Amino acid sequence: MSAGDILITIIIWLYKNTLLNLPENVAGLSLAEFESFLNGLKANLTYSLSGISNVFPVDWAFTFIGVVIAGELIILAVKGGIFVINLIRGSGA
Amino acid sequence: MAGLFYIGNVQAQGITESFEYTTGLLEGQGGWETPYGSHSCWVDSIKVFDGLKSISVQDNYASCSGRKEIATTTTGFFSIYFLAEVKEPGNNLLYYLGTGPWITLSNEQITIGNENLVLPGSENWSTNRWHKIGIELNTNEGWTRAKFDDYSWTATTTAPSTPITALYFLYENGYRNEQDFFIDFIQYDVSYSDYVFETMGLEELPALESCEGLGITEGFLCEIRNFFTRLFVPTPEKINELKSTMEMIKTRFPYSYILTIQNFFSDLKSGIDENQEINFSILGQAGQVDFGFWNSTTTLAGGVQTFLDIFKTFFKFLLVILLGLWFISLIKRIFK
Repeated sequence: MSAGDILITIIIWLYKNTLLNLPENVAGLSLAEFESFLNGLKANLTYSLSGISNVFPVDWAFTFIGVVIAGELIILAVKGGIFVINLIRGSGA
Repeated sequence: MAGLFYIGNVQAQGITESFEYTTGLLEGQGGWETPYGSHSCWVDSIKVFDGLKSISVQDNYASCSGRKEIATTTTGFFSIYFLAEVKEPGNNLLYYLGTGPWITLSNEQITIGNENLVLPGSENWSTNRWHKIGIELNTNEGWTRAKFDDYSWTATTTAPSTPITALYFLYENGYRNEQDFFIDFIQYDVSYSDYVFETMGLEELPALESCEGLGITEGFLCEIRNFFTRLFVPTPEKINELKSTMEMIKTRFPYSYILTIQNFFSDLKSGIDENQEINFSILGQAGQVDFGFWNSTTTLAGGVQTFLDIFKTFFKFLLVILLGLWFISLIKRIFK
């Protein structure tokens, strides 16, 4: 067993005992239920969007939604970071 | 719209071909021959996965094929995208070069080759969405294998030992029924090998040197180098174990949920059909919405434009304005 093998064994052990301990399903909303819900939504949305897609730029709308979600997540992270820093500094947040 | 078959984009040895030819027969364009069913292979832009053009095959014909000479090679990685609006057992998709592999599409699964190896995950193939079939072939070692979408590979199966000289596809409608079937976007790369990567873990894993025939000093140094190689370089088995362990995260929260959402959006995007007809029924009378008015024209800004273009441009403008307003509010909230 080489040093590389030993290092990989350690990484695998750490990985299995940390990240792989995460649950496969969330209580109250299993992955199967979640997929089932999304499949139903997908069928409806596909039909609806197909009806308007020749005049409405659906690609643009998806991009718009993606940009908005990304931006909102970024501002949430920034605000959260500032909040935590203020808590640590004791400024009363 | 029934019975169309599309083929879109080919990458061959670093050369990309996207079938951006004149609308009409594929035969004779870009070096393509159509040895079988030449009358039904059309370059068209009705439905594409990538680029502006694809190849359509009209229904009521048994098959459509395309063949193009490439530099002779013995290995290759090929992928092809298809979309079926109707599932029909007995439809075959021969894709690549010479005498196989042969992909068979049935209602429930997709198989490859004479051994009918089932592609893992192919039970999830559904209508009205684009799917990918990847094929890897090594005629030197005489094996081939396939995979469906991003699921795992099949086991390897026997492949012909003759070198590859042409890119080749053939679609057959087994029952010759009217149906909607589309193929688009083919990739071909002789330098890529997923199999080598998976087997070796790393493509450029340092190999032990052969110290035979070397002098005393050179031999000693060679043995020293091999000693350090053995000491530090991980074995392929260990790297594969690491890879398979890392893959397991895909089944854990929140990664599995994120993957599901990603698939949702990609399926939604690929499932949208701009040519879909809207049916309705009022007081027992069925009908379809007539979108013919969108093609009416008017003169705007000195040019003749259709209502469709005008409204689409308007909606794009509206989305840009909305994005601008949201961005201003975002900036304000950041500095609030």
